[in-house]
Amino acid sequence: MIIAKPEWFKRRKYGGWGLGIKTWQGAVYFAVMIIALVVLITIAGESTHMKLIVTGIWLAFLLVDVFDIMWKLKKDEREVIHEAIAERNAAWGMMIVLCFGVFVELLYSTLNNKIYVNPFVVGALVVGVVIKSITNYKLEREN
Amino acid sequence: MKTKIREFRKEQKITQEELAAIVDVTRQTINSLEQGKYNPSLELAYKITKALNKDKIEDVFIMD
Repeated sequence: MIIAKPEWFKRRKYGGWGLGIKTWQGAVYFAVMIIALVVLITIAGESTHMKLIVTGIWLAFLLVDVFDIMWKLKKDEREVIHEAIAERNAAWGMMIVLCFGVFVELLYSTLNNKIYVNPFVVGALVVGVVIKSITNYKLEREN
Repeated sequence: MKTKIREFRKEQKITQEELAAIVDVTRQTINSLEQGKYNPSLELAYKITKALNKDKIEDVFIMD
């Protein structure tokens, strides 16, 4: 199922997460994937339901392949440190914005006499706390 | 931390890319080490010392 090779790609450092193209094979891979999607949607015909299923299968395949590449992409110790610091800073930035969002929602909803906070925002914060705790526990046990 | 990587690498007539391949890191990491910007792990310091045919880590890496 896995087609792409890790050496065709590089880890995206700037402008988000995921993969960047490193060699022409990587560019060809993404071009083929886009063409495959267009062909599949064309074959799917007029049915919106069928188009959604086809796009879902295509997306699932792409995600599996991308995660496989990211898992196999080699990083040396300096890159590991750089990525860890960048991810930590990103997490702090997101956490500050999410907390501010919860505060604003609470403030507005309280002023309207109906307390409401988006559960997904609270969920994201809780998941962050749980993942941090599990990671620290595991790391403390391992080294 | 100062290093003598560049000096010993030139002695051995190997490029940054070649040394990087031997010790399994990127060329950028070797460059960063040579400039004294990055302090390596003990394992990497040991690998580089061996790759440069030196006996002791302190021959290659000098604490400021």
